[in-house]
Amino acid sequence: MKNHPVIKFFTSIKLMVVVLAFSTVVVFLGTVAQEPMGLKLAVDRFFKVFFVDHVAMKAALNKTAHLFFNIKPDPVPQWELTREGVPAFPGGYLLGLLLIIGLLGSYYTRFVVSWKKAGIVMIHFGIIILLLGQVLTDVLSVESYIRMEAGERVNYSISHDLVELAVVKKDVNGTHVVSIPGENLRKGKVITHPALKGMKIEVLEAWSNARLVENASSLGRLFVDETAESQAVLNRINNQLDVLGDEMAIRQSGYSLGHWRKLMEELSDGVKNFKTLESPQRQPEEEDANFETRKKEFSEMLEEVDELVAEVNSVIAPEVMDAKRYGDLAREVEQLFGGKKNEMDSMKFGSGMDVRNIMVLLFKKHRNNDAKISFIQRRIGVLEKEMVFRSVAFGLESWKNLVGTVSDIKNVKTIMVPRETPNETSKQFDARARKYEEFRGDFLWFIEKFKVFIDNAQIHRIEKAEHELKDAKGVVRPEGTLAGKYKIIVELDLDFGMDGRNYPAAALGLSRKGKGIGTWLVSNRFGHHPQPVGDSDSGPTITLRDKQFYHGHTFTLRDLKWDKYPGTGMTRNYQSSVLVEPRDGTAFESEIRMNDPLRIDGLTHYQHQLGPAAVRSSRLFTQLAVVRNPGWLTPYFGCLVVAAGMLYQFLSHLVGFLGKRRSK
Amino acid sequence: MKWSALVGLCLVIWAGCGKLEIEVFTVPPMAPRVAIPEGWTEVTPSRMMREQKQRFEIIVEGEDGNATAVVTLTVLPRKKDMALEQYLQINVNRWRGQLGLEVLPKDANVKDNLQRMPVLSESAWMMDANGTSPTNPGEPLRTVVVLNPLAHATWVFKLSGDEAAVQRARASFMKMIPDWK
Repeated sequence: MKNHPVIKFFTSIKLMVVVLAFSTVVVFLGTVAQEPMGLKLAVDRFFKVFFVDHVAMKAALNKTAHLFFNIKPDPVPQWELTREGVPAFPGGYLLGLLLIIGLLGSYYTRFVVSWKKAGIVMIHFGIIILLLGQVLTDVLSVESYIRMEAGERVNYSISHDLVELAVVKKDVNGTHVVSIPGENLRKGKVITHPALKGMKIEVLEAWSNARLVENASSLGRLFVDETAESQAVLNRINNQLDVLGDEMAIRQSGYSLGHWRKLMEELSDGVKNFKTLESPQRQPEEEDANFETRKKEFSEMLEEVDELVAEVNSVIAPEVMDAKRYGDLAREVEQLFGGKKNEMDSMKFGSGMDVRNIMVLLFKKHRNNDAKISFIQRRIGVLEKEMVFRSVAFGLESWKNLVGTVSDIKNVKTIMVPRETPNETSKQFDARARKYEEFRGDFLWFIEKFKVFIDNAQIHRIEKAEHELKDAKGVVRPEGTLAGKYKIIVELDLDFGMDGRNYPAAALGLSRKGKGIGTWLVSNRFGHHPQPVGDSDSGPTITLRDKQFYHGHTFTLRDLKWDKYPGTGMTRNYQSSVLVEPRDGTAFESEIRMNDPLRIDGLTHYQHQLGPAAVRSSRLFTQLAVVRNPGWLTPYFGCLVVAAGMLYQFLSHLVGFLGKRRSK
Repeated sequence: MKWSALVGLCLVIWAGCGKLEIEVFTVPPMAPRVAIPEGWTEVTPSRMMREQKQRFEIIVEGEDGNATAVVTLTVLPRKKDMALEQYLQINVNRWRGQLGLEVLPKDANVKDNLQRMPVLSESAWMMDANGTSPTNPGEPLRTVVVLNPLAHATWVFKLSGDEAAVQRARASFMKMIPDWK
């Protein structure tokens, strides 16, 4: 049996060498592929598979060619990355399996019982435990998150990777949940289950990542009505794109504008009058009066920013909006104004959607105050420009080209709000103001257009779908349902980034006993948004949400603590004080710190993050990462066994060596 | 034969792993945060008051009409870098304003108007004050507030409303605070 050709093949040294060589290549390619594919997708397609498919291989090889040979093949399109191709290379699971088979097979064919080899056996046994432990973790571990505000009680966590279509009914006995995995949301899929009590759910449309838009008047118009006028505006905008692109690239580089300006001054005659939000520095040979004027202007601008911050905070108070909306806006404001103001060139900006929402709120508040409106427009207009520059990945081919176009960058100042200068005639100022107004209109149009452009949008109009959004009585679904509010679904590319989120959406046709109930639009973009099914308020609700994992225990967030290393912005400690009420037993207080998790009911709770708003003391919430990993002890056990084997092997050699010396 | 059976078994097990099926389950209601005294009605806090975590309404029937009071649990963020005395003074003055009372003088020791609550913590304080409605002069009001400042969160237990209703509910309110989760 030991000489069976199959056994000999799997236990051959040659095969093991080949497997180890392939493993090295897979680890390398899987690491390189994280740039185009994102960490999660790369791990899934290189390591958690028996075979790496040709699309993933192509992405990795392209990146390798770029990195090491300066060859720049066309990048694999994002839509293609999501599709698995044909098997092209051994994957992590296959190589790991072959290693284990080879190891065990070798023992079967070559093992000789001997105390002398006991250490080696233990080391190999420990390695097998480590390999199997990793497989256990891959297959069985589940990660989710608990987000709670101070004083809130929570008995469930939510996944950031999985979504569920939940049909929920509440009564005195509790919450009855039918959880349908999001994977079922494929166009044409019909979902039935006894627990749905005769209700049939047909997926009419499904989108893997979508944005819901209220009406076509803004976003949709650009696509639905491609008029000659809009084409003319687009052409004008395209003429500005090169300049904007350069500016974006500067800010995307991670260097401050000051750094680039200095570099540019060295490489060219210098960029004069570069309008920026950074603190003014005295220029060589600059007159005192001029420098003082610039400092004064900058100081006035900071006062305006402070005023704007106060205004923004007055309209996004938690008392006037729900938590999700407040959280989004607070984060956006934190991003906008969180940095030190004299280092505003290093601020990071978000998508900007909510900045416009803030603007709307401010406009509503000051609808009768023209001066205030004008001020808000002016300041947010500048910030918005900055935001677009910084947020859009629009890199240039090389910095060489960038420096070559540096002289055009000064034209960017045309976006700035014109102010009358002392040496200017009113005619000159009017001309500048007209140019600004024209560009500003174009620019705002461009912002909308550009967002859609980078999202590679396709417009899907629900109201044109075969199934109308009406219930069984022919009544249009009331306000409050998503379908009543959002008419346009913008399909987005999947986000592969580490912190990227995808928000699926679907249009569902519901029926009972062959009779249509109506069409529901569902999306997890708005958090938990249950929509009633049927006329009764006590009836079931339907919602697409991040998958919820209910636990037997309950957490109440009592307090938060955080420390930074003195004199730095580096976090030393995040800590949540929670009251834990186990399913059975007495409640107890627990402190969950970074690297000091709480383990209960087979779950490990790690301190994940405190919201930025919490650190500013304006809103207290924490997020705990909850990990269920039945194999969490295997790495510890495997390492212990390996260590014990190494120690045994070392000591047995040492004792033998010392014995030989003594006998000599 | 044995080998193929083993491989087949492995494939079946592997194919079953990670498949997500429709789940049906019932989540039992959470145990109440605190034993609710008789006559108190729990209501859902307004969405406008995000920091308010629990709210009860109390109605006491009387000969001259019903007296009402409200009990709330609110958890507020503490102002960064603000001394406890200053924090207490700001809150006490706000509650005094709700009772139509004048704010405390700047040089007043705010703790003279408060009582310690060692049953909660060394830094917990209680205010019990009578006043009249600023909007309806002559209407007697009373507020009992227990404030428990922690590192960054402050737990505020508040009983306020018509004097008669507050008087009736005060003992139950004070008794439940140490157990209020």
